[in-house]
Amino acid sequence: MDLIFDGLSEAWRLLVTGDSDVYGITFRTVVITGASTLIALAIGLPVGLGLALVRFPGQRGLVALANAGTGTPPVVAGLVVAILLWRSGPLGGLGLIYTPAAMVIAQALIATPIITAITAAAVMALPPTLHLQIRAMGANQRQYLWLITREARLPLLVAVMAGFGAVVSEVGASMMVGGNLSGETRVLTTAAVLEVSKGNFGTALALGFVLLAFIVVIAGLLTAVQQRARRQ
Amino acid sequence: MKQISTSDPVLEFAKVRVRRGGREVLHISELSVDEGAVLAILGPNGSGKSTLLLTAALLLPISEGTVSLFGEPAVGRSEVRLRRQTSTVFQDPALLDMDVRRNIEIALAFRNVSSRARREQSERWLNRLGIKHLEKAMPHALSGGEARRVSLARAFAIHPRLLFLDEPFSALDPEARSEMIGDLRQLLRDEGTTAMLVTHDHSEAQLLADQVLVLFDGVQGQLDSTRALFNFPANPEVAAFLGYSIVDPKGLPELLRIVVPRISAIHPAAVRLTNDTEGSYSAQVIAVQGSHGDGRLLLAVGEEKITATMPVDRINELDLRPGIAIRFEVDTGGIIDWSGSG
Amino acid sequence: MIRKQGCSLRKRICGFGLVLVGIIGLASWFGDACSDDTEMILATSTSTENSGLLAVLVPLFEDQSGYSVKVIAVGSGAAMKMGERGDADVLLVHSPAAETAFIEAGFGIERTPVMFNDFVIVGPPADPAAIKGAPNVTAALSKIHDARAAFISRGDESGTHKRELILWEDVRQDVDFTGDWYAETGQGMGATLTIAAATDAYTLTDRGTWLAVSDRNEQSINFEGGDELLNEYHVIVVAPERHNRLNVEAARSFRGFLIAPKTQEIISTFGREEYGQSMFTAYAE
Repeated sequence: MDLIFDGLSEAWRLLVTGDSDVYGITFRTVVITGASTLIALAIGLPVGLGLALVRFPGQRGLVALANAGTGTPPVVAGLVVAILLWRSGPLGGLGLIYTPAAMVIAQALIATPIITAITAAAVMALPPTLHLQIRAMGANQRQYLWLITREARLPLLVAVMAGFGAVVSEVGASMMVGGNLSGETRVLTTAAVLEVSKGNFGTALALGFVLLAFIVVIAGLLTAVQQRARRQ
Repeated sequence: MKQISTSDPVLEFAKVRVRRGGREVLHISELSVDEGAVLAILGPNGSGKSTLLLTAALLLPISEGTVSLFGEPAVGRSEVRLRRQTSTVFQDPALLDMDVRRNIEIALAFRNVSSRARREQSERWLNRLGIKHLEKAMPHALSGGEARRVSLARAFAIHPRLLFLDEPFSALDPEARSEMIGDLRQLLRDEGTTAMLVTHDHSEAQLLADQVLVLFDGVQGQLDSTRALFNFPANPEVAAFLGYSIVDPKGLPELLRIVVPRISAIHPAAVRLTNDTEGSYSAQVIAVQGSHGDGRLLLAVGEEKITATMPVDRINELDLRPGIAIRFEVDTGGIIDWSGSG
Repeated sequence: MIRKQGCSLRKRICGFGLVLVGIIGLASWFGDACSDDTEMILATSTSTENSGLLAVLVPLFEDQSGYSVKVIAVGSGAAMKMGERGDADVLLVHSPAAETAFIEAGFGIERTPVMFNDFVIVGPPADPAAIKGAPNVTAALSKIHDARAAFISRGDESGTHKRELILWEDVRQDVDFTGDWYAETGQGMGATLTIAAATDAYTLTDRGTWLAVSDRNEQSINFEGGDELLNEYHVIVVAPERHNRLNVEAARSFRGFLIAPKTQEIISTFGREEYGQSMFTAYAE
């Protein structure tokens, strides 16, 4: 119990005294997870729409694949990206290993199946007559996709939240492809792991609380948007 | 774009076949709807009524043949443009998750109508359908009847040259439904809108349509003016579908064979109970049924079955129930035997 | 719903795959063409990182040389694996036997001693296996083994873990590692020390990490001393012949930096202020 209170007061101290390290780490976490969530959305939304709307052989298989992909262990995603980006890997020459860009790639790989699967499920759950009605109203392809997306916007927010939650809380991939470099690729989770490995459980807990606070703020924002969308 | 002449039918089917899962579900060799006409599609469940409507609305791909709207054959590239001159109202109003006014304006927005013109149109149709007070309401807050009014306003607001109605009111309670039918009838007349209506309600077809097409298993059973179709069904299948009793003289008592010498259809209203023994025939009540305030008697006459309609009050007064023997007479004007074969 | 024909879609997917392969190929070529030679990757044991020494040395080196250093702290075993693959330019490790094999296999060159400290056995102050005052480390471990006193191992192929296994070999050939008394954490030194304290177990640690955590750890050093517990750190330049993306100049420069008198002085005073004694002894001394 003492440890938890120590952790809380340490978290408070780190935040209030403006510990530049913690602010830097938190800011980096925001940028990296934000970028990977946006990339995952940019890929997952159209792919999810396609999976739900286009009939083609193997469609079910791909939907199942996306569903299975939601459970991709971060370590596996990290390993795949690391093998590609290591100097000894095929993309080693890009020099991306142990950079924030590598973390964004690995995290996007984790979040994309989640956003894809939830998008596909959300669109497939729309009433069938809605598709007919929208096209009957004279929508062209673009207008049709826009309205379908708009109708599914609340579950899509859930998809974004889920994707974001997965990347902000993962540590395996970030550690492997980012290398936990101080001031470059150290984010809240990897910093916490480092503190644990040093035996500094209080500081680790403090970082955990900062992470939790960050997640609560983001979830709160998204929920507020959701509520507004519902009331509208 | 092809020049549209006034003589072109608004909707034309030529040798259209629709197959689904290897089975042919629709085969219409010829069908056309002229400007200003309202065509109702009747038929048993699963006969392809909705398939026909969706095909006409260019919402369902056809396997063979041509569907033309406004004199122009629908092909991939022209579909959206042609569809934009039509509106469709489904049984489920399928309103979008936005307020009533925006629901009405969205179809206009697809057509790049200026926001001012959109506002004018939605204003007009909100008022016309008596839902102005609901303009800010969200769909989930509407009653079934209100939602249908929004869906009709949305359909009319684009001034469709052809309106499709797929069982628009069948999910409503009888009260709301008859009100909506009356309003729609007025709208169709005022606007002179050409329309195709799918329904399973005969009175709805009679009130709204100039022409009726009866479908059986995706094939035309009869296409006629509403009046002609209900009074002179072209064959026993259509007659049976419309509620006529089909009787074969071989199974009738001797006396009845004089008025029914061939296989015939007897309109249920032509069968009347009587106490007179003169010119009447004996029968046994098999079942007492009711629909829409009318009572229906199913009678065993010889080996045949004949249906008669009469007010429910009368049925109760006579205490009619299965097993009771009665006498009836037939108005020969209500017998069709297709002997004239014209 | 949108309908597309199967074959055209399959073609599209194939096309997409080809484009993807093309992009990877191009990126690979492009990356090689403009690879960054101011960057250097240092793979090292967790103990150097956890002790905080590198946080002092690396910025100094960066300032002096203009190279930017990425420190990957993974344990000596994993660090040498990275060297084998050419994923690191230079190593700072403490696993002598494995290092010798690494050099002999031609993976590394210019192996140079940088500093040393020693391993110690820490455990409960009450010392249940009575190892205090044992004549040598073999005798001390022998007592732990015979008493079946709880012992926590890193179990992560790190330099410390490898040293521990070598020490057990001297105790006896058939140490019963499967017994309840022996457990592996698979974690870093700091975490392992904390776990050992929480379970009243003995563990083998380098003195540097022990000093860094001892202020909040109720255990004590129960055995220390002897050549067997010497913990030497070497710098190794990864052999440039096998890999074309190595930054050998930077690696050599870092090696030179580590053994320069000024750096050696920093190493030998590091930690003295905070812990009352140095964490490492420089070879120059």
